[in-house]
Amino acid sequence: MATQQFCTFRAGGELFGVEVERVQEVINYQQMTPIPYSSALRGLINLRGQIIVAIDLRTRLRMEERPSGYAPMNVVLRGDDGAVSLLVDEICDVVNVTEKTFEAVPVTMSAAFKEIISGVHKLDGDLMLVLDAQHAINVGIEMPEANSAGPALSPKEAN
Amino acid sequence: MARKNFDEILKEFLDESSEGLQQLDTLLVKLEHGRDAARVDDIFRVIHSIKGTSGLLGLNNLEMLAHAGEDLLTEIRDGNLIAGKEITTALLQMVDSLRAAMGLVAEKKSDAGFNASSLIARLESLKDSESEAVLGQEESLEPAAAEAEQDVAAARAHNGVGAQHLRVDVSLLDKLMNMVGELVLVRNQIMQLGHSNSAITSSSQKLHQITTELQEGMMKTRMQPVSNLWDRVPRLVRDVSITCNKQVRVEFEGGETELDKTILEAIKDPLTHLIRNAIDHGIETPAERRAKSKPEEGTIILRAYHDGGQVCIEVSDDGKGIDTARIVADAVDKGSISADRAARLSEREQKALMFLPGVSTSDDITKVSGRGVGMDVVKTNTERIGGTVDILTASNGGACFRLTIPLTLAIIPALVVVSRGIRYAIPQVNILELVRLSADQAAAGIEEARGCSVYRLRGRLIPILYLHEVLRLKDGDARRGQQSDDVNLVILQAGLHSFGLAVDDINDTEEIVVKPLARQLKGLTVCSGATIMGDGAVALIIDVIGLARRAGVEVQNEAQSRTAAAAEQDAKIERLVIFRVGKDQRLAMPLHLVARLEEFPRNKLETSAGQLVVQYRGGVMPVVKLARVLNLESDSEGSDLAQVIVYEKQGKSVGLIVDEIVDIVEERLTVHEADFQKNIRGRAVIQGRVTDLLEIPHISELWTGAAETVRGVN
Amino acid sequence: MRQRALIVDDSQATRSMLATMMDELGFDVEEAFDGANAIAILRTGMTFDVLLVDWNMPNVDGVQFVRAVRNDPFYNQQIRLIMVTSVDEPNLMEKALGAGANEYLMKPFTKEMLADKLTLIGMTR
Repeated sequence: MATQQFCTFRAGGELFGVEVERVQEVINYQQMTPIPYSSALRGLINLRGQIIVAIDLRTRLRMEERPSGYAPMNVVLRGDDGAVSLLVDEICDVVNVTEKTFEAVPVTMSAAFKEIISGVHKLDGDLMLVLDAQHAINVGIEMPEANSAGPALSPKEAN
Repeated sequence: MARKNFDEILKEFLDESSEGLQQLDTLLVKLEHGRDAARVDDIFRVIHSIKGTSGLLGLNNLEMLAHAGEDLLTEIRDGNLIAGKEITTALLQMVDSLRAAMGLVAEKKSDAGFNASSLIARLESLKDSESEAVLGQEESLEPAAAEAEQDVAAARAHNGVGAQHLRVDVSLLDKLMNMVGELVLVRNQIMQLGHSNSAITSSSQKLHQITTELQEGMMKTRMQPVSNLWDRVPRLVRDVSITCNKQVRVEFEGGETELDKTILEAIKDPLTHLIRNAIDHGIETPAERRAKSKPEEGTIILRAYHDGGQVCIEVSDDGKGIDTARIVADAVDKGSISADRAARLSEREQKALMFLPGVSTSDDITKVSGRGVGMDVVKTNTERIGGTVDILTASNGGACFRLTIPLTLAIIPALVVVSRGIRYAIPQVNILELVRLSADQAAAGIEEARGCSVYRLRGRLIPILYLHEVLRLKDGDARRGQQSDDVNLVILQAGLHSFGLAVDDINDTEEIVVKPLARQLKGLTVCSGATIMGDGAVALIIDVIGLARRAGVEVQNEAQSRTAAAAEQDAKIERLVIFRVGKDQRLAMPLHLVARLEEFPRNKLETSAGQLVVQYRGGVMPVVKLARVLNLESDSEGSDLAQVIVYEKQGKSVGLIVDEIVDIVEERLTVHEADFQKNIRGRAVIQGRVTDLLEIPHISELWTGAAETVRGVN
Repeated sequence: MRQRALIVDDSQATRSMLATMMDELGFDVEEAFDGANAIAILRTGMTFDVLLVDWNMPNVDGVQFVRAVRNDPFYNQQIRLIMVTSVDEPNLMEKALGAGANEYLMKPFTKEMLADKLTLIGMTR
């Protein structure tokens, strides 16, 4: 039976796995430039001259915020339009699994999880949630309605 | 020598053919205006070459079409036929069709499925026709482009293969450009390391110099003359004028002016739109022009020139000009602006309403321009590349549109600012000036009214946005401690409007390498890209237009942005300038009627034809002493400076001399009748004090009305 | 030793096609993008065994070029000239041959047709 390799990591107490082929590299916490109007899109990182977006997996899954002072790790994923980083709590092992341990997503999972989790693998004493990388990095920014308290000026005054 | 594979050769063929075809549009239109042996040879050679090479490459359908065209051209070259309207139209169709076929070949690596048999039949029948000079059935003719549209529709998306290639493959050029960008970053980093070692200092100076030169050289490789874009214009003008039944010729000035190729491509559509509009809505029919004793043939002039670090491209025509009233009426009709507000706009601002979505510049719905569709597109596309559109009036009474565009996009000078500890880059092109205010100056100079801040910059009222508020930044740690209470204002130009952006700190101007935003950030309209700073950190680049739009510093589409109820409520809130005349007469007038607040030395006030005037902005402006009008005693006559409120209406300015400008406020007014006093429209309680509202229209009669009145006052 | 050919054509794609075929037929190939460019190359003293010349080029056309080469003793008169043309007019072929071309080749052609023409002027084994 064909084995699959997963790079695993933890966020908010859960164990996640991404196919190793999708992972470009794993790096320590990096200085980030914050992105306005966004929560899951945590910031921009300079990865050797390339600017990449860091997505916080906890926020993406609507989990509790990471305690302050707890520096996340970057799992840099290969995306169709360049690399994207996933911010996670800690990096775990690379595990080999076969289809035998695979199960569908439990119906009890929250919608936010179901959106980006494609199934689970039962490991020894642990459950690994299989992350659908393409969906996980599919986040956008929706600018909130223009500031109603802000100045709405007629052109005369603006000019 | 390394041999090439089929795909490489195919690409060479597509490149050289597209280049040739691009010339043909212009050459064929010229040929229509008069036969010239050299020109026929040039046209012939392009088609001949395409025929020969397509045959070699096994593109037989393409070859057949080119062959038919070549046969017809042979007759013209040998003087057996004259290229009149019908033949030119057919040949132009052939050019379109060939161009479309090139697109198909680029995608499919074959011309299978390309069928131009009806066009071939047409070319063949024309070859056998009598000389076209005797035909003259012009009324049945369609412009070439319209008809070719159907044949071509499928392949249209792949059009203009060659336009994306220089002699060097552009992707290689882009890669090199990127590397130069990286080099600039490293250079910046090294420059920041400090200069403890003099050898390092001198080497880094040298590195700086070489990098700068390399960067400039790289930029130049991406530059292309505007004439590349203009090559297709004669063809466009011909087709559109035939559809509109107009006679138009086009003139070019400054075609050698160069622009970055990305920009050149970006302004193609706006330019096309402007030209279509000029023919369709600007230039009159021959009959109308005759009636106005204008030459029957209208003229469109395209002009390109450098202006500082920018390039201006103008499209002007000698047509009927822009009907401002018509635009205003349409904008009001569409609910884009209230009639009340529209009436208060200056003429230039009224004209600018044509850039609002859906607003039309003409009543007639035409095939060419549709109903006013497009001017908003012109504006959006131009602004997307950091450019602006202005409407000028051509000297001959026609219309003139000016696109002002940056020379290049990839590396730009930008000002680095800090807000709440985060750095942002603002493109230098948008910056008018920097103003630093001490806490005291800020307290006095920035007026707050219901969350709106306005700053008086040399008498001009400028709205202020706080960057951290617009971006909803949280107070970072960096803000605390180091911060003084000074206010830094970056005065920015966004389209026709200017506004001040308040930031915590202003750093240096740097050359930054613009990197596009990741897909996930496409919705972030307040930023146009990102860049890597000298210390390796990432900074977002502010999109000034996007920021202004987001904060509402713009002509807003009121119907869309507000509910009717909210708008109604809003209407009762007035912003007012409070001023004092005489010892304690507090007066107010609506802020929107005030163009500027000025101070003039009293010795500059002169009397001309019984009217008090002052030289102002290159003209003479009448001024009125409000104290006299209101029968009050001025208490500032003794001071050197006169405080003047400049009022502007219908393009004319008038100064009102007051004793003191007190404040600018925003209040929901309850006006009490005050008919007992002339020139006062009512009385209200503003800031807890009784204030009279000046009756502006009445005062206006003082200068627009009879001279006696003026004299009586003065 | 491989023989050497110069291809004179204003179309890069045609030059590439011809160069590929000639390479496969055992020639070393140089390219010139028009008649003037070809003359400049020949003026350097570089020698060629065969010239493949496009009939229809800007500035100096193929016939003019052939005439120039044939009338100037500076050039090696042993050089073989093939006029490449897509014009199926007999008088043009005659014109080319009259000007001093050894053969003509009509587009579109295949490698085999090219080889045949080369054989005709004694270039292939």
